[in-house]
Amino acid sequence: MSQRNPEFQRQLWLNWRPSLLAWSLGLSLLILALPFALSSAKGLPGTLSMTAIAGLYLAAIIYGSVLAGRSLAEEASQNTWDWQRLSVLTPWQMAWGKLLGATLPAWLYVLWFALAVVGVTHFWALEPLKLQHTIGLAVLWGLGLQTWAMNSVLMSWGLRDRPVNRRRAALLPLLLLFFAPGPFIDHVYKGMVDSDAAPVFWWGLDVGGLGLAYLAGALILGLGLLALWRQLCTRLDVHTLPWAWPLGLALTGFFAAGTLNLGIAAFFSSTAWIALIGTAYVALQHMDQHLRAWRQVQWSVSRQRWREALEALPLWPVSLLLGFAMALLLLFAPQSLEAAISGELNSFTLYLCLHLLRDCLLLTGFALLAGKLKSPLASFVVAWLILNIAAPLLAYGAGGHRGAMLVQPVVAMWMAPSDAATQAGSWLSYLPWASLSLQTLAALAWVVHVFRDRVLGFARDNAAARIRGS
Amino acid sequence: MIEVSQLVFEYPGHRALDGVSLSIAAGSVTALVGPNGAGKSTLMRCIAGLEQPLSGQVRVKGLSVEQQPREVHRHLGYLSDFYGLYDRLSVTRCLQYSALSMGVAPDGVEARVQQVAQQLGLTQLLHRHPTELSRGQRQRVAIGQAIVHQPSVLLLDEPASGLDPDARSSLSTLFRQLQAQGMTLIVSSHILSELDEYCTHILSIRDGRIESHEALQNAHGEGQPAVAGQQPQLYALEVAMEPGEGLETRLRQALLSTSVQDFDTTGRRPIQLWLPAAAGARAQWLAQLVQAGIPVAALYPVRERLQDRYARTAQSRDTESQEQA
Repeated sequence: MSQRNPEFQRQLWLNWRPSLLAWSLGLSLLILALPFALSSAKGLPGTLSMTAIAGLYLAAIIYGSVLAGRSLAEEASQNTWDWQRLSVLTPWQMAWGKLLGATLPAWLYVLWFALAVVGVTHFWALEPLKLQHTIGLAVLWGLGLQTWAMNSVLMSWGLRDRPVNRRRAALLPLLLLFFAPGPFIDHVYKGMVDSDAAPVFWWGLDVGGLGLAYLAGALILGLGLLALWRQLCTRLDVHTLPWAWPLGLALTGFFAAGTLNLGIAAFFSSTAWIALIGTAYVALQHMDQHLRAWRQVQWSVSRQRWREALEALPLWPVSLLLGFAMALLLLFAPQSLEAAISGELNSFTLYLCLHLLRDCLLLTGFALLAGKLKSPLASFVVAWLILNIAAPLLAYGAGGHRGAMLVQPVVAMWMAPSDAATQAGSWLSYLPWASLSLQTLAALAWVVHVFRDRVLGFARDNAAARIRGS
Repeated sequence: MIEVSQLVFEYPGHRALDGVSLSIAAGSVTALVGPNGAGKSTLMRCIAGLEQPLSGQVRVKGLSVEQQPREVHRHLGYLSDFYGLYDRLSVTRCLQYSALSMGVAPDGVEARVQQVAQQLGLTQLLHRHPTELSRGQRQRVAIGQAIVHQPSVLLLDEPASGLDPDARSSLSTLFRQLQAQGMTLIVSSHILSELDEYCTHILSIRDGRIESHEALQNAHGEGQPAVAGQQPQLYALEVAMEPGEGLETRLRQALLSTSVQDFDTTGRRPIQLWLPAAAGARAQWLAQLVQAGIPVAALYPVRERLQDRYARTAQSRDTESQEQA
């Protein structure tokens, strides 16, 4: 295997030595000896079993994630990433080479603690905690979170050519660790110990608590690998069409909709919402690359290189398009979630899409500007805090519900309409559409103006350079 | 070997390369010179596929860097001015990994590592870690990583910065060896005197634009571009100076019609001057000099120093801009 993947070979050189076997075994035995010293003879089997299980999960999830993240962070701290970019390794080779090679010490500890769990369970003839699931889930979730540890390091680099080592990279896997398994822990525990636990449905199938935990683990691992591959493609200059991002969002929506068990409308709705959240995230995260990306799109389009234009396209229009598609499908879907909630807001997701389009256009416009105005903080404050929070509140104070509707329809929908507004009739329902459409058009016109000034200006410069060259 | 066409690259708010076009011949050693911020490193990184230009094309060995960067990397080695080494691996492992990751067949890696170590004088250091090496030794390891896969093109960004004179000298020897092996080199440096020893071409860049790209004349007067037949060439004139004879005045008078590059009044250094490339015209000029009573001891072609060439280019640019103003 190492012959086929130089990166895996390098990680083995870095992380494997025969003495590691003895060290890891010794340390594991030391930890497992603690219950002998600290607990009573009666409680020993239970404490020992819990210690082994805790060690198993801590090794797979925490230690494994630290090692996986370090395999990339080290490239930034040692300034060696240029060598990787100059290599002929594929993104996939790089991904699994680092993921499996760098975490080898963690998997050794997993092995010792797993053996301890098996040994304790059999020796004291404890009620079997569905051993294979205890170990299987540790491996699955461990691998999944390790991929996200690597992703978070890559995300923390930003899109600069030379990566910067940042400690905040540890935040994402920690958030995932604390929040993602949360909803399943109760299910998993019941699935492990209680054979009569209530059924847990996913898309109408009784998968049980354990099944749901496996599904969530598989999703986290699958999305982690997909994101890792996509990010490494970008980092290693391998051009790809932007399919991985919407696929990941749709898979997340599919999983979330399955847990709601509300039919296909829930899939459209959850995917739309997840796509919109993703749109907001990438629009902000990749803001410093918008100018270059749009210029590359324009240049490729001007030469009718459509594939290159798609490859250079920023990700926010891709996920926003997914959001729009899902919102449109939702309009015609039976049992729509919004209809189920409010009875009326069937088109709320569409409002939200339009609203986000306006905000993303504003962010893009700011990104095309020069100077301090193009900083993400400045545009975030102007485009989102002032326009979306301060302005509708002021308008509500000055003009009531109708005023808020004019300025910011989506926020105004959450404000209670006055009786007069309710009595105003059906024309009021068109106000948000008209207002939001006008705002979006105005934002689009502004972006086009800046784009023509900056991007088409570039095109003119380029033509002038050609003339000079000839 | 390298074709760059209409390359435009921008950092936020700053155009680093502005419509750069050039062609680098196979087997040449090109000195990439220019002031800080001229775009030298950016140009190298674009050629290496480490930066994505806004527009334009770069081809190495006929392969598009933009379309097939990984394929281009098989034929290209690059040493950044800000490189790092794998500090937790030994030098052997560093070179082995570089070879493997650059597509060298596993069977040939060991032999290749030994060859490179011998070529770079790293044989005694193979078991050590980069953190235990001096700056010059680390530089050699980095160059080893860049050439271990036997690339056709080698790009070196400030390879001699921070090195002591001995290390610089051995670097010059190495570059000559690599050129002799048929490698095409582009070397960027601020220290023009060290480039003098091995460069065949000079590529001057300023404000993101190519200022000049010329072949350098070697000591035998070879190496000028195709139009060199009409262009003057640099010669050294040795005169038997005898004090108190008014020779200097006569010499200055005789050289009035000639473009003089360097005139040392003490007579310790030969006079450097530009003479017609055609042998007949040169012979006529020499005859006139002798008739004027100048005791000519020797006349031979010399290579123009890079520093002088660069200064001349800058001077002609300033003259042009003054004329335009």
